[in-house]
Amino acid sequence: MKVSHRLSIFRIVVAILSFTLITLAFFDYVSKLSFHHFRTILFLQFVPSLLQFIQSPSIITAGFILVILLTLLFGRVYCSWICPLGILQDGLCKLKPHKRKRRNRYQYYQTNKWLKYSILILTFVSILLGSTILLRFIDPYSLYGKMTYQLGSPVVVGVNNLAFDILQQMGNYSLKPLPYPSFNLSAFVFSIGFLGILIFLVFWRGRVYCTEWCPVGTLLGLVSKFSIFKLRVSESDCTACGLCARNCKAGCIDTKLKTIDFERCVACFNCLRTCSAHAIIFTHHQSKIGESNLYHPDIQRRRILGMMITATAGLGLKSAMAQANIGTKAMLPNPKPYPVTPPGSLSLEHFNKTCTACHLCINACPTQVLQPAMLQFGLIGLFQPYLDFHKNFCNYDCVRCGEVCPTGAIKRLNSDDKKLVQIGQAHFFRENCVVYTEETACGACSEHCPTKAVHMVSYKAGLTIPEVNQNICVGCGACEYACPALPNKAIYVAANPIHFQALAPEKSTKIQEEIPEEFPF
Amino acid sequence: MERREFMRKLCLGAVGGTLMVKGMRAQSKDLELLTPSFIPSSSGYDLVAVKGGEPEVMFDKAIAAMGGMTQFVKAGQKVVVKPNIGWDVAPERAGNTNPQLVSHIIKRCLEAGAAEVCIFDNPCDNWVKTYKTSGIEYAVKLAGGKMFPANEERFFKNVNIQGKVLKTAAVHELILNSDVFINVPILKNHGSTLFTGSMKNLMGVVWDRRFWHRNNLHQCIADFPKFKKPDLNVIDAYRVMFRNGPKGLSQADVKLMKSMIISRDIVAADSAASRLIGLDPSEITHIVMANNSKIGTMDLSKLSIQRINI
Repeated sequence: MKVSHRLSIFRIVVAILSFTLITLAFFDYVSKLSFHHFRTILFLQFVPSLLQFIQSPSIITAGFILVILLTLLFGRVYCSWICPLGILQDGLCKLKPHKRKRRNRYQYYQTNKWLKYSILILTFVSILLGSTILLRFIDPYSLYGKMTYQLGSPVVVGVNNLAFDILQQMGNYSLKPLPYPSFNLSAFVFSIGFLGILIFLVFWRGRVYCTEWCPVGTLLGLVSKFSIFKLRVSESDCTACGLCARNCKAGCIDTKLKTIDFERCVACFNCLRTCSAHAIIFTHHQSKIGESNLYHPDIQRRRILGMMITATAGLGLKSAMAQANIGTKAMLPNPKPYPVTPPGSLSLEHFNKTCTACHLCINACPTQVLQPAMLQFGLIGLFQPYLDFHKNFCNYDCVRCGEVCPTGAIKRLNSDDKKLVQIGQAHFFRENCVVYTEETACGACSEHCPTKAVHMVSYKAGLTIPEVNQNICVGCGACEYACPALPNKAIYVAANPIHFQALAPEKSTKIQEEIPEEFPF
Repeated sequence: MERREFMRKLCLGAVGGTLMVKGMRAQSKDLELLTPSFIPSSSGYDLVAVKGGEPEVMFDKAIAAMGGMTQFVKAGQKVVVKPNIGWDVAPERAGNTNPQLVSHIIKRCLEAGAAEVCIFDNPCDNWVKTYKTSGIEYAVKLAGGKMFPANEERFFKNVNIQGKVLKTAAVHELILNSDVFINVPILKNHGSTLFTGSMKNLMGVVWDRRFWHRNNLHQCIADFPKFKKPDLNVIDAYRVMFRNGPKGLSQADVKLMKSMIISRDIVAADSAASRLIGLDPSEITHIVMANNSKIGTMDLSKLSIQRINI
């Protein structure tokens, strides 16, 4: 019994640790964490790992396989120990107001298998069809990310800035004021709405999202039916008092039949702790306590599991074929306006296929040029990050988004390679330009241009006007951001739906020494 | 490096910072005693040009010729130093004011008895990266100055500027609250204003630069000093970006000129600096405009100039 207590406490410690690390990763505004930190912290996140594995199978992207193995051993430990959304719900449970000191508040309920299997199958189908649209609304990690960005970061920034003000009054300048994340109505409404639903469900029946909706949970639930270690109810010891069921957030303990629905059990081990008769034991598969604990294999479920495995294999094949095609198609100009996707996202197609809109890159972007899309990608791209050149521009040397991206939607680039990735091309409209309309000097675009793709050429007396060399333009949007023309910009970046390689601007040579012989005055 | 810096910040904190400043001041008194020859009695020069030395040495020679730092900074005063920290480029690229020079000026201000020396700019590139990459944040910390942010509008206050075009501007509170304003631009080529010097550097003390760009840039640049003229202009021409300015592409755009110009007169300083980069001040519209509205004089022949070779 002491062991069972320890298991529960161990679970809480691990959960708090993973939740804290993931949350800290989201609030790393000063870029203290490296690429390796992000990879380590998010290694076990199921969907990001799966998406990345499909693109580039390797040990460092195989976190989801480890999760499946863990599930085969211990059941859905992922849901209570690793998943930030699951842990968040456990935290929300504690906030539930207790009526008349009633702490035992849950009950066994029948699960709607059709719903959860449908969600799982639809998610797979949408991934197969090359879209992450469903994942963006249902993947627990991405949901947690969106809520953290939309609801958490304004609070963190506010606290930081308040602390900055107080320290500054005391003459201490060790903190830096941070910019508030810009308000995005659709993402905010979605996040607060989802949090509201989550709180309602948690207060009502516990982990309903996890047991009824979450595709990761459903998949791991199917796997956990075969897990080696299981919670088992001892027929002889159990008094059918129902205490465990009332403490079960997953509502998966049927006291009447003395069975546990392992498809739903999130391995929180609270039942172990609450059972006063010590009739529940977490133990090896073979060690039989009572026959009734053994779930009878369900042919239909096996079929679904088989489908999943086939689908995964198919997905791998499809992506292997797709990778061979990158760069050979769609070089023709396309008049349809595309959103500008981050450097390293390869193409709009790749990005839409792999980004689950967890908004980690948006949080990490030092210039805040990355913003969640409303309809810039069309409805199919709702919440996807894109570069908003009215907010800011992409820093020439920065590769942060690729470092933090856990799904491989934004590939990690080194600084030199990134400087040659052309995410779009600048287009100059002389008729909008201040130099043309006002006949006064400006040059803000050229000032900001990191490659001098936008450079100033002689115009009328004493004036210079911009000119664009698109071959060396990287599409960073600095010119568009800096352009003061109203109401439209005189220079703007049109996205490359497939990222190109820009030509390198002139190579650096050694500094010349030229101390003037005499002062020219 | 980052982690070390972070740890250092954590460890030092407010107490460490205060101690450091106090230490600097204590040290400065010793230095003053050791180097009295730097401070001549006369302060007759309108403009001092120096060449051939390291930034620190050139500054010391120049300021001595101007009558010493105490001519500009009195004990207990609050000093704001405004370098050019516009771009996320390393010091070798000469996109920002030389960090050694900034550090040295801060030291000299503290030695002269300044209560505090604050440094800021409103960069074009991301401010956190720019402060860091420019080397200035680190240099300021070493020298005992205070690096101040300018990334939020709340640090700026609206003021009236009696300019021809520029009637109002949101100006950084440090410019408004400080007793002494030292302008430390770097001399550079510029794609549209042809060159950037002291007056152009003041674009970094306002919040909305786009307005300037939209409404006769040269006139706005020439208008701003009507509101506030720096007490001293120190033009860093140690490394000079002679093309592709103001950000530059590589070190190939940079010449090592090892020069410096200092003057109380912002127009005269820019006039001399424009010649240094191979232009005639009459080509630079904002110099001509500022000269015409009597902000200063661009006619160097009317000024007493000290030329120093090291």
